[in-house]
Amino acid sequence: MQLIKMAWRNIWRNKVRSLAVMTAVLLGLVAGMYAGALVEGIMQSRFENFIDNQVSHIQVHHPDFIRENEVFQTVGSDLRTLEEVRAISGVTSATVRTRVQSMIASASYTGGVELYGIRPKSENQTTNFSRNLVEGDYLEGESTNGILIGGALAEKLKVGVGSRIVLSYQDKDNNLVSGAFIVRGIFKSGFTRYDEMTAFVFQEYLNEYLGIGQDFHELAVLAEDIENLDEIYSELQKVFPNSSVRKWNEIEPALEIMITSSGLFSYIFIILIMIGLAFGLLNTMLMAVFERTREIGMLMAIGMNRRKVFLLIALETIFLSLSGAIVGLLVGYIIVAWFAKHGLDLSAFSDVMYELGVDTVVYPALNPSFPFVLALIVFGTALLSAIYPAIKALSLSPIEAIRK
Amino acid sequence: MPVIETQDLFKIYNEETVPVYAVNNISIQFDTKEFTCVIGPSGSGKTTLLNLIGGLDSPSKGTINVAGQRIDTMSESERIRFRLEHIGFVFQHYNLIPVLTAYENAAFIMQLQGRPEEETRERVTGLLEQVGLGNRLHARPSELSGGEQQRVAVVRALASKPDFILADEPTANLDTKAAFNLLDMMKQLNEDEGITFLFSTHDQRVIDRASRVVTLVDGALHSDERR
Ligand SMILES: Nc1ncnc2c1ncn2[C@@H]1O[C@H](COP(=O)(O)OP(=O)(O)O)[C@@H](O)[C@H]1O
Ligand SMILES: [Mg+2]
Repeated sequence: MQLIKMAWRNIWRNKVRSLAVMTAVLLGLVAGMYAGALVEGIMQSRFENFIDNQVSHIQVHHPDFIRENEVFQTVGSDLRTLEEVRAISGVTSATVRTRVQSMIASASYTGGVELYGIRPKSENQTTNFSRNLVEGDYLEGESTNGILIGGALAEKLKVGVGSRIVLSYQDKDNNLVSGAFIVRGIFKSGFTRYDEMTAFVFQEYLNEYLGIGQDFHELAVLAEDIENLDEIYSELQKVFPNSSVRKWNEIEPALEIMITSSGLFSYIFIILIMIGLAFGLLNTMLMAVFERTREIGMLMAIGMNRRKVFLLIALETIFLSLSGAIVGLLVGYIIVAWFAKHGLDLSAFSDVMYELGVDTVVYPALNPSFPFVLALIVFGTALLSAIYPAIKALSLSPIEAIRK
Repeated sequence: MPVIETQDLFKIYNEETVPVYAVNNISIQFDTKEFTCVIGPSGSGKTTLLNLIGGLDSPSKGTINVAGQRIDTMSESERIRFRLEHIGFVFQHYNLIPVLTAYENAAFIMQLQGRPEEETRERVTGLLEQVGLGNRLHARPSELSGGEQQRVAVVRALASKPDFILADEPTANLDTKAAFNLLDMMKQLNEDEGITFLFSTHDQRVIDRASRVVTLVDGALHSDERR
């Protein structure tokens, strides 16, 4: 008790210096929290865009299709299966797709694309795809030769809405077939590579060319809650006993790595800030110890043992950093919470944001455990920076200190 | 029964180069309740002797018995503990902890010893009142005069009832009146509490208050007179 009182009062002996250290801790934490939350927000936005636009939550394929991509490797054609899937509790929507590797050609460019035959209505319910359109219209109404291509591909092909392009692919019997399509719309998904490599047509129209009737290669399921996929997953395995059923993280393992590594990034950032703070703290406390050589010597002379002297200096260091940290966490929390609600408009960097696959308004997201982990890190830093000055204090000789 | 006893005590600095005999072969005893003053010119070894007896320093040769224990052979942490339990200290300056009040400073040793709060409060407030600081309990050292600060230091040293109190030039920074006051107060406490005082000075003014005067010259015992 006595030590706590002394330590607390001691940090106020040099108010300016202590306040400077506290402010540094405070600002460091606020910056750390904000940067962490921003990265987290960007990653979440990227993650959500990716899941929403492309992956959905669960997909079903022919077990060999994933590797071999052969046209004949379809999942069944029984249309009731789609109804069955939609009926599983927890499923928001489901859609089926035909996928085929194809060549796309305009007058000025030829390249490869992954061609998706979609059912526009259910596709839109599942991936909300139409919101990505930046020009023209989404596929609607009767099955026609309309096609949606990505903005990046349109630039390469030098085509616009209304242009005619030719696609070639193999049908189920390995015959090369070509078909002319009219560009109906141009989309930007937020992922440039995806936009370059992907095109969408009516499934019915494509299937006729391929000769696969009502079959499909891919079934995508959107669940109500991404955290709660296990039951849907096992139900799907019952509906498709011979197919490969995969969750988002099996489909795109990189996505999960991205999420975990973004957390890591925040901590690395914080740790860098903390290293700076540790040096500040260390320096301040060493100064405090040297200024009080006589006083500490006197304390040891009258019988204060080493453990208590150590504790006194350590407590001062901890108080110094924690008082800055508590305020810093609070301020950081408030700032992050404000931006989490109102968003941070980064449209000035829209090009970069687009490359990252992130919306231009970022909503910083604070992992709920983050402030606590931060507090722990600060505490650890304080403890570490307390050790050296405290040892320094112990090395003082009481007679030397008192003699002067 | 002597409370302090030194045998053939030496403290030699720079033994290999130009040796300085700061304490030169001193064998002396101090009894309980004595009020002894160590005098001698500056550099005669007063501080060194007191530091040796107080377990702050270790001798080059010889033995020191304090309260029945050999302190010259103790380890540093044993000595810290011994000082806390058995010896009260009053220094010339930097006696008090600036961030603590007069009361907190005076109670510091008893609290370090882990004495019960009630006992500490009664004892410390009583003593502070006795030395005329009853109305300064909550003043910080910086708000006290030099004499008042030394009185707080004496109360701190005394409160835990140590075997004896060592005071190295306690009046050096005080004006004459304050110096007399402090000495009178120490003498009074010596009589009331029956506590042994051993203090040093080169201040003629305060020597008359002592009941025994030990004189050092060049680290050696020059005279030892009881009055
Ligand atoms: N750490 C030290 N190193 C070398 N000489 C010292 C040291 N401490 C004291 N001395 C010497 O020991 C002698 C006695 O000093 P001190 O005990 O302080 O005398 P006093 O207190 O009577 O003035 C002096 O000559 C002093 O210079
Ligand atoms: Mg001296």
